Amino acid sequence: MRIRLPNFKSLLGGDEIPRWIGLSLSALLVMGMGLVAYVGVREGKRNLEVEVASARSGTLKMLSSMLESVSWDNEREAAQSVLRSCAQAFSCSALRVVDSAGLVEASIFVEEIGTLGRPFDVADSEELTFRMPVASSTNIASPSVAVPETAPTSPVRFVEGVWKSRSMTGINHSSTASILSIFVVTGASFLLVYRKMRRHFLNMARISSQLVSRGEVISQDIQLLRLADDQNSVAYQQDLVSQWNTLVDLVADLSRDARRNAATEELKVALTKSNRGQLGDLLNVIPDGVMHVTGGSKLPYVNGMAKRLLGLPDDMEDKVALSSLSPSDTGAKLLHPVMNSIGADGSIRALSEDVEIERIGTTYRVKVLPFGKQLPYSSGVVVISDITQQVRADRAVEEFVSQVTHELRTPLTNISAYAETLSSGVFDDPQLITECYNVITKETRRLGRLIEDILSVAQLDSGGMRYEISRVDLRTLVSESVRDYRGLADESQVDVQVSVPSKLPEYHGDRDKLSIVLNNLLGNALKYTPKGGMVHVGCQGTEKEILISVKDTGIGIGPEDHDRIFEKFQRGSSAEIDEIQGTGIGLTTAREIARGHGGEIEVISAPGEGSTFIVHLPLNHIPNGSIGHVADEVQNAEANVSLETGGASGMDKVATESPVADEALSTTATKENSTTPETL
Amino acid sequence: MARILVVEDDAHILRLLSLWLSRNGHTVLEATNGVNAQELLVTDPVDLLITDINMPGMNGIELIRWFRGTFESSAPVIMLSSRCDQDSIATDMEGTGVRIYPKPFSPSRLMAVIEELLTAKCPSPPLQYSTHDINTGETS
Repeated sequence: MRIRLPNFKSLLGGDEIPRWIGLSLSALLVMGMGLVAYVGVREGKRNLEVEVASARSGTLKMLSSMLESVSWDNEREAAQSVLRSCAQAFSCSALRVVDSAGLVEASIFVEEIGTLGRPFDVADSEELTFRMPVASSTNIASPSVAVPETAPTSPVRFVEGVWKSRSMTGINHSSTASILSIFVVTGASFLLVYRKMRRHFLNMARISSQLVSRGEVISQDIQLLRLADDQNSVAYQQDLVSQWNTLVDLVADLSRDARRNAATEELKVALTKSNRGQLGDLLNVIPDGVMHVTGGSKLPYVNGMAKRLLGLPDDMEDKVALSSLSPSDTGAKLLHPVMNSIGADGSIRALSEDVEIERIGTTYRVKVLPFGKQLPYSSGVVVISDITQQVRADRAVEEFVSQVTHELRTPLTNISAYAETLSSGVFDDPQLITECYNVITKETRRLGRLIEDILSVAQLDSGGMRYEISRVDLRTLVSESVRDYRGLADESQVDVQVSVPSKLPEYHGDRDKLSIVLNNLLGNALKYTPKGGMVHVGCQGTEKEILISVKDTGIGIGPEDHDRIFEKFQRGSSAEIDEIQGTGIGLTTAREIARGHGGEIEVISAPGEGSTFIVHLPLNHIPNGSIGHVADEVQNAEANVSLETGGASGMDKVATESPVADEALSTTATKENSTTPETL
Repeated sequence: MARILVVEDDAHILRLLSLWLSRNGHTVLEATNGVNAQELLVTDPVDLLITDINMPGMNGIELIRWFRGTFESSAPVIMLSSRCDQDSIATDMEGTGVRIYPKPFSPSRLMAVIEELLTAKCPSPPLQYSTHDINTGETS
């Protein structure tokens, strides 16, 4: 059995480790410094006092012995000199000798620089004057010393002095202040760290207790293992490993819980503070409504967008009760799911509900996300998002899939049913058999075109089309497209006219893609033109561009839809259009291809007045893509024109150089409804 | 032999159904949408109605509602559907005794279903929709 190792980083709080360790270490450092400073200052002061006291006691003894040797009566000058030397040697700032009656016999003031960098001032010093008896057999009698002649002499003299060192009082005051300030800083740091780290401490304490209990089990196992004989040791080892692995899992679980709790706590704190804090500002900027709701139906926080959506005043109070709100009609509908998410026991359950506001044609998604320390959760975040565009897009795609499926099934039904009719052997009428083959051929083409459409949508989605550029014979292109749709035109009893001049400027483009453009426009024209109507396909060249036009006498398109019909999955909005099957991708693809050739599709239409789509293809534009084999294309074009394209009147037969074909192109494409062609 | 009305806006499917039904000896009436069908039905009641769903003017669902409701006909009905939402149509049509038959279909199998419906007791009892029918096109 493999032993798993615990994820210590995760155990200690994951990514928060560096931060909280840093904080803890700083706190410890500050505390340590405070302690060292306190102990140091206290010890220093005590040592200093001891040293000073002992030094002074020695000094005084020496001073006394030096002064004893002074003959005060005869050698006043010498006594004065000794006194000066003593004062300097023993760091006294002032020294005097007084007799037993207190009269001064000699005195010396030494002007010295203080130890703290300023002149010594007696007034600054502490009252550490000393008074010490001096044994002497002589009296000071010199008149030059400021001692009155009349002063009675005394066998006992005292030496008094002031040490020149700084007072210890200052040290006492400043050290107390600094120690106090260190304690204040340390205390504040500790409080700050504790506040930040409390959760982690609590979690760690909890984890620790769990670890201890598991650890005891393991410890017992180890004991047993020691006692066990060799045969049993393997089993015990396995048990031990298993226990250990359980412990590791437990640790992982605990740390996960700890992190989750920490995150919840943070969110709660953030939400509480959010009215004034940065989070509040951020939440006010986002385009969704955000609220904090509690199990007691209170709203501690409502962001700006939520207020607007619910129709609540901007300056509404915090922590207002849901029941006391007076929202707009829309707001009431949006709050309904929020109220539903609050249970009778004050618990909040997760919920996501789409609310459609028909009056303004908007759909909102109301989400309630419960949170809290433990189940059942008693707080929730409410997020209200406008999903109108998403809903529209979803519906459009749904509609598209449904339409495509339907449109695929129709030709497929015909192909399979007619194929079965052929293969069943039930029908033997040769004319019927030919009819079956024709239907299968026609429907297969229809299916192919549909698949082309779907593929082109896929290409549009995948970031654009690639174009295979070659010389395109536009006359052939038009005639082939018309040929493909002749069957549909016959069925719909729509007259298709074609007019293409014999001479057209040489054009280079993607033949297959341009064929899709023409097919889509022609297919649309036939689809939306009622029985007895007319469709005209024209092509003409100018110095700058080729114009291909498809004009019909169909139901027409309102000006409000002129742009929309080119959008993916979108179709015209009239009731008549709804009844006609369509995927809403034909025009999107056509325009994309026209633009890929540097051109555009122009639409001229009004309801009931038919539509004209004009494809502009500039001559000097080279689409992005590979340049194909121009020569091959010319050959293909010539090969194409030599094909008999069928049809009783042969009007689709085209020859690039043949005036007969030109004439043919200028005739109508339907058998019955021949009319005079019009030239664009 | 029965009188059967086929309502279908796709000319090829209409033609094909007519061919097969005529060959089986039935009299076939043709309509390309719901309104045409109503006009024919009013003057000429039928033993079986076969209808497409999506048609211009009046669609198949509206036609069947009218057929069962206003027209009070209990004749068996087969609905040919190529739509994705067949389940919801089935729910819509529940209790109307309409059999929903998916496209693409096999003409020979459809003929078998038709014969089965016609040979059942006339007027036929409401037929319950079966998922099996829709998914496989097989007769149940």
